[in-house]
Amino acid sequence: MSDREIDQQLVERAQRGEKRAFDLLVAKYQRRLARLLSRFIRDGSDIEDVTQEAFVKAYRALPSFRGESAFYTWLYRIGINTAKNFLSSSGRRPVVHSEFEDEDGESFDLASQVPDFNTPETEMMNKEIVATVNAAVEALPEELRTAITLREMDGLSYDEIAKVMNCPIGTVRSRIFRAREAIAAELRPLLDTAKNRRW
Amino acid sequence: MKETISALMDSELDGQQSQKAIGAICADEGLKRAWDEYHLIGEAMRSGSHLSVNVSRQVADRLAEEPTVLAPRRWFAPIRTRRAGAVALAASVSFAAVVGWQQLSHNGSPAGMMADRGVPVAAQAMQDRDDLYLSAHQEMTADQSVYKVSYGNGARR
Repeated sequence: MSDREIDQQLVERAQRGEKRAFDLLVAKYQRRLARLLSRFIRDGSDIEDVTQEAFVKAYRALPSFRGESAFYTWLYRIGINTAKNFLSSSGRRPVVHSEFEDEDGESFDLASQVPDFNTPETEMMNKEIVATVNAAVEALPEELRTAITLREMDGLSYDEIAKVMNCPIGTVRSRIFRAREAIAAELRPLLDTAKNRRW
Repeated sequence: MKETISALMDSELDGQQSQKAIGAICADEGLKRAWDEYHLIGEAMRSGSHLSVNVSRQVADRLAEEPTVLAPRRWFAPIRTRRAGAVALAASVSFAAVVGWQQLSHNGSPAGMMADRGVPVAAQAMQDRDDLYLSAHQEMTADQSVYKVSYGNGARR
């Protein structure tokens, strides 16, 4: 099942009243949406507020979502409108605004290439997460490191990775899972600390 | 189960497996956490910005206050049913077209001839009956006409 189909499944569950399905969409897209919104909004805490607001608006609008576009395209459109409303109501100018008018959701990922306007605290947290993940990846046994890198960085399918690594698909699946678990184990203390610190 | 979630994220499960995995994540906090962490790891490896953004709890708290959305089910029938309906409609139209074409274009056919002859035959019978009636009437009235004429003529005279 493709990524888009998985999103559609989650949306349909949420449309049937399963709020936890919508939580999974929030977990999946919150950082990408925040990166997009950072092209409009300078302040880090405002970005989080608008991200939050956009998800709530998306939830309210779920009955009208019919799956004609990808969920994230639809979500990003809501995010942009929410950001514009926020900026106009607060009398602020957008950081960047010109190239968004005619673009669809797919091209919004370019937002990851723009400068970060995080607060010093969130910037430090970002750096810690990246450093922890990088260190954990470096510490992995070679076959796990290769498998997770081919998957996450190069976007290869399990079948392609199996050919590259000359092993069965089941082994690829297992290696990628073990790599993720090993990295997550390193990340958890940091995330727990961050949770306690921020919430 | 976490391995299945890892494969789900990589779009490596079929439809039924995916449904099952999604259901399991929705029902288990530990699996949901794995879902969160695995996505974060991927993004940290690829991008490195806005990784600390975490509005999950705030959004969940706000959604808890929201009325549950219930989208109406789609009104249209499944594709298979719609296809069967379309075939039935097409068959009906075709049948009507064939019958209509036969009626209009096959005037020389036995059925057409019978229909064509039906009207004259009935008319002829009616005409014959009328002729008999009229001739009888004339026979009856011939004498009367004489009288009438006589009476008329006589009266005029």
